[in-house]
Amino acid sequence: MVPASPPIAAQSTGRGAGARRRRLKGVARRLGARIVAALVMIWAVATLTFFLVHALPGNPVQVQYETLISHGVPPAQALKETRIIYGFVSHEPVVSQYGSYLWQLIHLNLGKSISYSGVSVSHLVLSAAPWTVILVLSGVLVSFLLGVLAGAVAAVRRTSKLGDLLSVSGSLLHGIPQFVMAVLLAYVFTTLLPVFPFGAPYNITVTPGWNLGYIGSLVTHAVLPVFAYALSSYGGWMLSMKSSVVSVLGDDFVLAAELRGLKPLTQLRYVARNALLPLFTVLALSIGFMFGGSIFIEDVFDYPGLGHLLLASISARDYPLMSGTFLLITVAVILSNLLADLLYTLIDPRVRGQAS
Amino acid sequence: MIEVRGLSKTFAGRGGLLGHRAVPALREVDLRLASGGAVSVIGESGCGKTTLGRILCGLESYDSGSLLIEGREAKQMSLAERRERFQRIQLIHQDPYSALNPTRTVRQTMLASLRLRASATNRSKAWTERRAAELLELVGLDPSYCLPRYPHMLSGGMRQRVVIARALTVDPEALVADEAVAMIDVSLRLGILGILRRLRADLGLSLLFITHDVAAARYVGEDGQLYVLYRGQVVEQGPVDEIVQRPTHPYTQCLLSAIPVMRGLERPGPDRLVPLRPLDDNVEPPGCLLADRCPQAQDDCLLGRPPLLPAGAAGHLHACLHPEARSVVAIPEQTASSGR
Repeated sequence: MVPASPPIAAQSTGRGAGARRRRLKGVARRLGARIVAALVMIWAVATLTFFLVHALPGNPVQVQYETLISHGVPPAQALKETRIIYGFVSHEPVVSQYGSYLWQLIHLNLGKSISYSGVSVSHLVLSAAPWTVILVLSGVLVSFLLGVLAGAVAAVRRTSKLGDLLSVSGSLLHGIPQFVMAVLLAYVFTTLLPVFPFGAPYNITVTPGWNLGYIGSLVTHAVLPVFAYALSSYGGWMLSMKSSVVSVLGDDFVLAAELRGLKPLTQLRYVARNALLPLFTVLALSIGFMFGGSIFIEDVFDYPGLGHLLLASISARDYPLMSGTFLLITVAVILSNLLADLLYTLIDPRVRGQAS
Repeated sequence: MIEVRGLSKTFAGRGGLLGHRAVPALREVDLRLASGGAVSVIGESGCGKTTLGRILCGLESYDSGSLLIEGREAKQMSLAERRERFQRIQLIHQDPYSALNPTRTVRQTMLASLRLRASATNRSKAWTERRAAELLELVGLDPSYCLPRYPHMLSGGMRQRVVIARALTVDPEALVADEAVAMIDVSLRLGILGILRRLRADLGLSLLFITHDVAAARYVGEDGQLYVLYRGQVVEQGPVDEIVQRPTHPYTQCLLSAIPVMRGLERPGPDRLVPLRPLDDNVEPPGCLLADRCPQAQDDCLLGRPPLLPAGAAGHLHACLHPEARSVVAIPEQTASSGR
């Protein structure tokens, strides 16, 4: 019989620089493997997007070409323009179309939009992205902080009224869909009690720039969409943090810390660190999903982010824009997944050990 | 010295749609753990032995009776005194996987309490490092190997040794080992038990050893006392060897009869009792608590609960109306086969 491989601890018995170098090498190899995997995934998604656009009924590329012809554009000119928009033309065989699409992609050229005629897709996507990032990032952070705090309190005080109340708040808010929350907040705080402005990311009367009026306007306009996002994801954080804390509290090391007379603050730190570990992965992932995760909220509050752009491109059948936006969303998810993986090895020693 | 007198604890009980059924975990338990002494508590699951251990560690309240630490009643201590005295009684858990914080290295784990100790006794930082290494060596570990490692890099047996070393960081006077070897690989068990035995001999620690393994109880405290707990009541107690060799209570006899016999090397005791039927928690016999399961029960057993009375040999007590000495433990084979 082949003897079972010795435990990790036994493999890295060497001390000092040698062991450290070996460990670093392991981390580097792992990092390399992850990056290659991420690139392969991005390529797969790009390929899928290409063939999806290709398979759409009515062949948008052909339609574009014929529209140009019918507008009196000479065929050679029409072919050139279509190539600029899509990166490929349907007169060529699929393989060479696919090749030129990938070639353009490597040069970060996503083609040109149809509905915003002549504007490049990368420009449109990149100018919409910051709005989404600001909106959803603050939404994610607010809901994460509130949810984690409430979840921890609900877990520690789970036998009291306060704990019950917090748990109910989590389940309740978790059950309300994002768009209902958005409409509800908009109705209550702009119509019933007109505290916050509605629509557009800032007041059009102020000049954009680093001035107080603009920034203030940005903030007041962002409050409702951010809270719509935060409140609808708060429940998930709260409930998972609660169950995580409850399970860590049951671990004997917490009891042992108490028995040895460690300070309550130290005990709290032990519990919090261990309870947050599983939530951390979900946090990193949800930051990736945020690029596409706020379509309803952006639509309700008329926020010019990626979700808004995606909706507009779908209703205008703007295929280059659509595939560009999809691609950005997927890339963001893949990258944040990669980031989550790497960060997790930093914060959880159990995963770190597996590098070797 | 730790002593409990008439200790009773009843849990409110949960479950059952129709009202809550109170669960008596301990009934008028008397127990003495002398300084440097050893007491083993055996009994089946749910007999109250864990509750007893938790009360002794100050983790659980009790309904009536008293808990005396060095003659001081626990309920009359100030909060500070309570903390101080109960810190001297450390608990060794059953599960060495959940007993260590997975995000902290052995060094961090050891130093956390050693630092508090150092600042309380005006010792230097270097002392904490030295002491950590010293304690790990005491439990048979290589400090240079263990200190920088996280718990997941150590084996179950090593982890349990770390748990013991960690308990020693607060200079305890007593250890409560609650099924401390139940989850350890059998081949490593003896090592852990040996450490507990050595700690008693070298450091004068007293040990409350909670187990269902009679052989382990005998190994760590040959000179100690054995308490047999059934449904929260002490049914038999006495010096370990006396109880193992001359048990008089049918429940103890059933427990001892259940120890596997190594056939060929030993033969079963001639008076072995049949295994007990499963415990029915819902029925509480009016008289002797064992009456519904006892193979020797007679009519009068249902009438009154037998008190704990002397059973002949010094220190041997039993609570049975019809005690009878039986030879139930295995006897070594004296045949030619063993001589080969």
